[in-house]
Amino acid sequence: MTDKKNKNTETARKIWLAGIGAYGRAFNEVQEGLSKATKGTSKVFDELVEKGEVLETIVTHKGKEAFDKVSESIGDKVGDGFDMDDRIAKMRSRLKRGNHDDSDVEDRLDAIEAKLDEVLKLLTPKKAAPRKAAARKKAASKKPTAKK
Amino acid sequence: MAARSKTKEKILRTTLALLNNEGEVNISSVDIAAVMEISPGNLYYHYKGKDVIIAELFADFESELRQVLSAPVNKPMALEDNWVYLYIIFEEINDFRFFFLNLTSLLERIPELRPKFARLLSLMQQAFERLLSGLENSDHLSFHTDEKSILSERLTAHFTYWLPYANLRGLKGGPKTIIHEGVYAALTQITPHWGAQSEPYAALLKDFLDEQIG
Repeated sequence: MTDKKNKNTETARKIWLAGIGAYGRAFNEVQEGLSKATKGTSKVFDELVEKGEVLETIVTHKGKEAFDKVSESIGDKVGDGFDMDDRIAKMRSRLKRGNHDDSDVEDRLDAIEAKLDEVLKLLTPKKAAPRKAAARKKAASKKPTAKK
Repeated sequence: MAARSKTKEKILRTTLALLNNEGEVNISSVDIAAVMEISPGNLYYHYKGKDVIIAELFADFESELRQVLSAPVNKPMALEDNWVYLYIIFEEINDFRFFFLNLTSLLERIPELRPKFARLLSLMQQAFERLLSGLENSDHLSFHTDEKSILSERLTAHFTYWLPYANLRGLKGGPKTIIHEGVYAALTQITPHWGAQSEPYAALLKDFLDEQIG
């Protein structure tokens, strides 16, 4: 694994963890700060990336700075879990839209799933082998007519 | 499911609350009728016994959980939503906790629920496996052969038995705390698969839990 890849994993890991409250916001700030820093000193930075560890220190440092700042500004909100409840409520309603009318839910899910598969395939062409994608499409377009 | 009468809906809601709060074994259909202030005969007219009510409650639970479990397949979810997502699965289970707290005896008494419950568990396992695959495909996690399905199976077991386990362990705090602890315990199981990032990941996870349960 290269240093760069490590860095990406690290970045993604922080995003993943966070979301939930302050970390996410802190991370955005870190990124902004980092990209600013990188612009001015990109050459030096490239060298640093090769050595890896130096950048790590900067990330950690900037991260802490940003985190402290954000914690200050949102203060109690995070502490009493306000953000969390809000997030949970939002996702809950997103997951359970169209509740309590499940008579044809299975069919609708199948149709939606097939469509989304198609869209996802289009969005991520690198992962999908072209032949497979075509096969899916066929299956997806066949399905509704077969049901009727 | 066709529309239910208001009375039926009220019977279901009352029964669910009673079973969850008082324990399934402690509540009879006479108790349900008493709390509803209707006669046992009237209750029997709507539902022929407690187990029939439980079967219908299960059907509701199944359709709710199905919606949640099929969601991440249908929607590309942001990574950061995973904690919240697991939390919601636990919330569903907690809303139906009398069932999970008395699983063995209920499935023996109402055997037709067994295949339905098994089906739901395998849906859950598939949902977890998809979640792990998503994280693997985006280079967050790495797995050896079969590890993913083993881990998702273990997570399913964790979700199935977390509430009775938390009870036995005497975990303190309200339902929210217990659910957050459960989500934390679930996520720590994927820690080793973060490879070089395992240690900082574990630390951040702990930080986050502390923030949630204060």
